[in-house]
Amino acid sequence: MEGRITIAMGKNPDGSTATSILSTRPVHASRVFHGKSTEHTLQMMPLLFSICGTAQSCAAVRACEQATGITPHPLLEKVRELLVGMETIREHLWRTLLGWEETDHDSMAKVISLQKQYKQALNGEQSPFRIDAVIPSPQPDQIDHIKSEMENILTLKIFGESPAEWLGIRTKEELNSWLNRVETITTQSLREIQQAGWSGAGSCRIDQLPEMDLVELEHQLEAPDYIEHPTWRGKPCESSSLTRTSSPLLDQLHEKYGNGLLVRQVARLTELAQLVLKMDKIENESQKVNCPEAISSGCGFGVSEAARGQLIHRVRIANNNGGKIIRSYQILAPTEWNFHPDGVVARALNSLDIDSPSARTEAEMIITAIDPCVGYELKI
Amino acid sequence: MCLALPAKIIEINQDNDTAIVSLDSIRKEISLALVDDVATGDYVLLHVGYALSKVNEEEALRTLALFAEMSDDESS
Repeated sequence: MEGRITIAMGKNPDGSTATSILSTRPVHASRVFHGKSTEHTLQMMPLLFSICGTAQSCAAVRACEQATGITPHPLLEKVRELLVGMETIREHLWRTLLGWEETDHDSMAKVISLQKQYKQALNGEQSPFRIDAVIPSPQPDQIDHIKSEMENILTLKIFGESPAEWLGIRTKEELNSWLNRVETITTQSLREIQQAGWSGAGSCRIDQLPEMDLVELEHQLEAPDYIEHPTWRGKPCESSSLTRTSSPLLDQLHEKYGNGLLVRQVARLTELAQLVLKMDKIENESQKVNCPEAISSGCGFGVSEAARGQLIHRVRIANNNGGKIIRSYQILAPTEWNFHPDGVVARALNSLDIDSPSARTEAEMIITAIDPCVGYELKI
Repeated sequence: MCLALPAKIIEINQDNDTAIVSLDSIRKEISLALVDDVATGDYVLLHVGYALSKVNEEEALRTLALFAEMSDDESS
């Protein structure tokens, strides 16, 4: 039921690599909410999507609030954003601590525990992903403690120095110096990529998913199969941690390796460090409410930045005996952008030489770096 | 979508910290390395071969009912 992605790499008549991608992900699963109340839908959302359940819940409540003309309290929105960030931290650490030859179960178990504590410290037992959610009362001392614990994990297991110090790396030379002096799962894996000559592996031309005009998107979504193979203005786009993360180091690596494997891994680490440093930023930043403008009554869009890229929910709500029910519900997920038949994964794999003995390893590393969030099969 | 199918623990192997779970009548082995408070009969959420967290039975059954409804929608 959860679906699967099948990726087949072969050759064109001219000998170049040709990749086909077939997805059976249940992209229309949200139809199960049709006819349900908004309250029931928001309650069930985190149960249906546990891995990215926070990002899904966040996009869902934003969509429902917009459709019903409700503006959430800025502090509530901030707490939602921080919880989505924490989920991304967990997912990035999952790929980092468990995704290589060596695995670190103890640290990952600790991260999962910290995620639960963080939720409790930010919002207690209440869910901030309900339309009638109470305004949170975050516990600064607990949040500071949890952040400090998370920084310790990153310092010991990932960076070999504090996340803030690591973010001070601005050049390729400084990155190489770090790789040579620090011994962690991360530095081992990045050195392997460098030594194998795969820093630029999978580099390809692809547009970043821009901020979409919602009237135009609304029109696109009228076609029921749009969410299976989305394009923007006729072009496939990428939405990932690489496309939303920036730093002087990433700019320099991008110049040399394009959007190749090393750059993707460094982007994930950069976002990880940046998110951990923001874990206690409750009141300090702009209190702007991140809701797009409503485009019509009863229709709402909700956007959140999930670990794998941008997630968009679109809901249409109707009045029913004094209550509100879902008339239609669509979810546009990052995997459908990135694993589009002509999307970033297909193009990255097309750049590989499938006659190379390392083709499978390189392909698997690229697929994992972009991350489909469901199981996949690679045929060469 | 990365759906969160709850799986029921049928058997625990403490020697290698794994369990056999039942999911939609299919049995598979998973790692319990990331959870420490589960017992036979509990429902857990899975993520790429690991039990990620325990869910209470009521929540698990509600989720499975929704999946069954979803499955009916897909086939109708």
